[in-house]
Amino acid sequence: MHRDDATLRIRPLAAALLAVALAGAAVNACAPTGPAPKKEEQVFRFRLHEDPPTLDPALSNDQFSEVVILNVNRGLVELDPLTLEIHPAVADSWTISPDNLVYTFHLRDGVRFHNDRAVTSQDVAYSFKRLLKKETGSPRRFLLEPLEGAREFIDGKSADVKGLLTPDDRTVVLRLSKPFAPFLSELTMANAAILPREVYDDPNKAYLRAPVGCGPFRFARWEQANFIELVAFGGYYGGRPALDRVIVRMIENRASALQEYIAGGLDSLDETPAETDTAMMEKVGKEVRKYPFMGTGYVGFNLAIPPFAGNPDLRKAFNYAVDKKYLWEVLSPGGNTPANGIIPPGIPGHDPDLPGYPHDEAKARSLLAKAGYPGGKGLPPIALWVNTGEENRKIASQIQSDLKTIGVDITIREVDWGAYIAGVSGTPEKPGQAQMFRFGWYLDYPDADAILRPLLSSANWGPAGNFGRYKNPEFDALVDRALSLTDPKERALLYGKAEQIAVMDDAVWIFLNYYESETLYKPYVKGVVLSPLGEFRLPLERLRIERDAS
Amino acid sequence: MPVLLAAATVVWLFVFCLPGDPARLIAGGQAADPDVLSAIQKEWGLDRPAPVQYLTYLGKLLRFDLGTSYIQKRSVASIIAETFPATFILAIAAVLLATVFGLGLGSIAALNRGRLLDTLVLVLALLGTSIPVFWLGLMLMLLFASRLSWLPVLGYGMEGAVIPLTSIRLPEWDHLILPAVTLSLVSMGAIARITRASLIEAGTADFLRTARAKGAGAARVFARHALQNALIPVVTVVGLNFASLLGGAVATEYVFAWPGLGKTIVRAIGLRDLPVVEGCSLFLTAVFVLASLGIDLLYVVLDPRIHYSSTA
Amino acid sequence: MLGSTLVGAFVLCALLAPGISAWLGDDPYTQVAPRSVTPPTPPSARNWLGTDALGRDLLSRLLYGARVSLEVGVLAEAIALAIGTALGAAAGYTGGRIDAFLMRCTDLVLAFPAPLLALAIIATVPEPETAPLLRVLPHPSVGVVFLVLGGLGWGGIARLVRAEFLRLREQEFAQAAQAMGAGGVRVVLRHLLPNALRPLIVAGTLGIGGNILMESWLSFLGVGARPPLPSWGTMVTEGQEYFLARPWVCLTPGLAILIVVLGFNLLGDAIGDRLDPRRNRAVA
Repeated sequence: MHRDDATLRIRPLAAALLAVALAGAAVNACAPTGPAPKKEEQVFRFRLHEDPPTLDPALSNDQFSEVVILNVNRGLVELDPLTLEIHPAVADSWTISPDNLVYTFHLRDGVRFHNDRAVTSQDVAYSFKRLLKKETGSPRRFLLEPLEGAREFIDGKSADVKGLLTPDDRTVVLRLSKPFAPFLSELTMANAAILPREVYDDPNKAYLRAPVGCGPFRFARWEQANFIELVAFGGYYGGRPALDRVIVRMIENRASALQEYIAGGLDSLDETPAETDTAMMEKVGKEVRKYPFMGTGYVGFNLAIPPFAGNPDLRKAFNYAVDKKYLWEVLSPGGNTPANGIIPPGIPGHDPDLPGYPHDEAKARSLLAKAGYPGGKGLPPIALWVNTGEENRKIASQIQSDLKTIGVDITIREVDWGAYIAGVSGTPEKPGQAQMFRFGWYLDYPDADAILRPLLSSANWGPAGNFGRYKNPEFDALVDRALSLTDPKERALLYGKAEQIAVMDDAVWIFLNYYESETLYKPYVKGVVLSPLGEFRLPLERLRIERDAS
Repeated sequence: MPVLLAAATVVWLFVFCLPGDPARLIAGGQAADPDVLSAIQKEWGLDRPAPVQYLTYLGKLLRFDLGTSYIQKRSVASIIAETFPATFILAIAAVLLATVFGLGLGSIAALNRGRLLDTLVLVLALLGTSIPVFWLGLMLMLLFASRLSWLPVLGYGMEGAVIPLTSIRLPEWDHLILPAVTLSLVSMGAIARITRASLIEAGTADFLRTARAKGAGAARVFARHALQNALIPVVTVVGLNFASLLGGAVATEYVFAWPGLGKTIVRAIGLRDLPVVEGCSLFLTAVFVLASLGIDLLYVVLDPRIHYSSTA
Repeated sequence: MLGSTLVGAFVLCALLAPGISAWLGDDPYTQVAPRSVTPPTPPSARNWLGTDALGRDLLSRLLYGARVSLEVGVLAEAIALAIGTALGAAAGYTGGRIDAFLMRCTDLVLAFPAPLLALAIIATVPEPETAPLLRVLPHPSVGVVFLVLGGLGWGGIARLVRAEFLRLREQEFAQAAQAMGAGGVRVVLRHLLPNALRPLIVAGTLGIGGNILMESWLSFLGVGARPPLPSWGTMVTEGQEYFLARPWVCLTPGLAILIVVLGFNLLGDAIGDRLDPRRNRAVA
């Protein structure tokens, strides 16, 4: 549910695409880099911009962390990154009661932690309570809040979670306080991983630098600012992965990383050269892979302060003024596609026929006049906030330039992540000072709820995610109702209606782009999965290296 | 000591005055609800009044406790311990390169004073001090690593090798070359110039002529004479350049993805990981002070009078 | 003489940037590349150096970038000179306890690894546009840079001035002035300072070059001048991505920094050689 646009977290040289790269295989034909891994050993090296903030599943709230955690840890269920179906993981089967309140999971036999202990239902109970506990300080505790009695447990009024039961060693029963359609999807998230108590109760918190899970790869070592090494776990319930080792290298500078990829020091890279860079494309063009993934980029308006508060015409004028087609098809081609609304393609509820706001200077001007600011006259100073990053700067500069053509002068505030979040989200009582802010959202599961609710529902008003402080009872009602239904068609219809309101009536954002990602893989890497949930969802256990395949 | 205390105070004050609620940063951006926030404030002592926070901070410093990273949730000291060796190795390599080549170039210039070679060295030296390190690093990388493939593009090496966790990380030597050469240019020019000037002032050319006339081995005499006359100014220049060396190291580590302290600090600033910023800045200030002390000691060791009396 | 030529050309470019780029029919902010072509576009008759990643005229941006560099270089050095001279003069002239105290402060400033401290401070001023002092400046984000660089850069100047004053104070003309009843301030301003000017000019010239280098370094790391202001360091960052296909986008700003800093270094050396009789003997 919550995810920052990774681009927002990356400093100086970030690119708009995703945070995390994956893939590649070991070996190097011509690389002067590093000792060549032993011939028979399968090593895969990919790049992260920076060290993951944490490898503790409960604390993880970003993609750098998840790319590692998702391969070291496993939850009850997992999300197939390609088909987006929910598959058994630690649980090999489950049943859901007809009233959608009780979930009964049967644990798989032979699931072992990396310390070779068998996983039992007690571990599930321990891990879920740990995620909920106040002392853990998890930013994603809310994932399990639908459980009956979760609130009492969090507040310390009860030592147990009423809706979390372990009738025997191999069975876990979860009872919700009310039906919650995406609950199973939430259990696939990295935060809901099953952890061994003996490791995670350590008061010295050694697990922070040496995580233990039951996933396909065992954590080996982490050298700050340099690399993280994972090795295949022989006892993995799904069978030992083909890769023997995985090296996650921390390289921040984009140009440097590209050179390293070409030199053979990386088997995969999450950033590609600019398409205009013919020299570079000649070298790696064949290794570029494109894929759409579920996310939407936008510029949020702060609806709680002037000049955007209560002035939809002004917001529409800004929307028409920004040339999204130029932005994504000429200026930064090959990545994203222009957005017509909120729900990205591939998600039930996406409406390709939604008119949106195609570039139209004349309309923009007339709406600007209608809004009370003919030719931009009378507008207060407006600042567009972005967090530092080259791609963010480029997009913001282009928006600035487009708005200038209809007479509107805005300034760009490029600030670090911490200051950015503070300025954009404000406090529960007070709106943030940013009038406009660029943001991106990647869906955590393939459901329109995963973008409409966190960003625009009044339940998440303020710092909880609805930074623009949008409040429309009609919209809220539609989103809430969709959540209690199970018929996908009916739900999609409701989401479509909600989107229509937020886009065409209220113009809550400048709708910029649907994400499409590009990534580089050496040809000898096989089994690559490019997930519409983002590249960080690459299941490393499916990769293999076939460098001599003829 | 007073320098360090003052530095600690300045760093603390400065970080304390930053806008933005640290508790929210620790919680990981926007997601935090009030419960989580207050739990965090308590755990990290952010709810106490400023003077208490300051004193706690100083007390911890006395015990070499530099605090705990907001983001990584582990001690800043351990982060420094992990990343400083890389920076240290890079800096040492750069200083050595700069000194050896600086002394060499300076001597060549002094002996060929007024000739083409002299001018050439002077121009090179000036270029070296005028070039932006980050840009030079990029150019060297693109030329020697990307175009010519003579050297590795970036990194520390070793990520392919299996080494015991406990051992100190050493880079592979070929990975060290480009970053070290890039960084050495910060002080190489200055060293060459000061060497040249000192040798000229000491009348090296005349001295050499005399020595040769007396039949002494020219090379040995020159080496001894040159070192005696140029070492002290060179040490001074190295000392004076130490701060820019650290600055250069940041850019160099950034360009070459060198897993050092500089890269770590830049990251920490970006993520607002304040304890890391505080701790690392303080640590580097301490290193800087120590280095200055070391240079003062070197003076005593290198002082020609002491040298003469010991050989006489 | 090369030094003064380079510096002169640089200052001219900076001062005349609006004129030159208007004469060329460009400005540094308008997107001039055709809407159908992905920038950066190659050099053409219209845009002599081509355009940058946003399709803005690169030459205009280089020219305006000179203004940013000049602003930071000169203003930061002016601040450093003002603080350094004042403190150095006070210390050198009065001596005793004040001298000891001031020199302690100077040691402290010199003990900080200045570039890192500058980076940390500037990176954590989140909003120069709203900061009370900086808001009034034409470019608040550049203001932070020169204030911090100036505020951290006076240590060397203070030592230099103090040393000169200690030397001059004992000389006859100063003693004579004092004997004739001249007041402290008068002695400092009329007699001591003019005689200490030579080394100050040298240090100041070299310092400007250093500040320009530092500004580009900060911008490269993403904490200096903010968009859409053209800063040479930022331009290198933006250009490195296109290095192989559009090398000039990264090469030209890098070369600009190199040449200008070189100019100031040459000029500083030349002034030093000319003004310092002792140095003349040694080097010439």
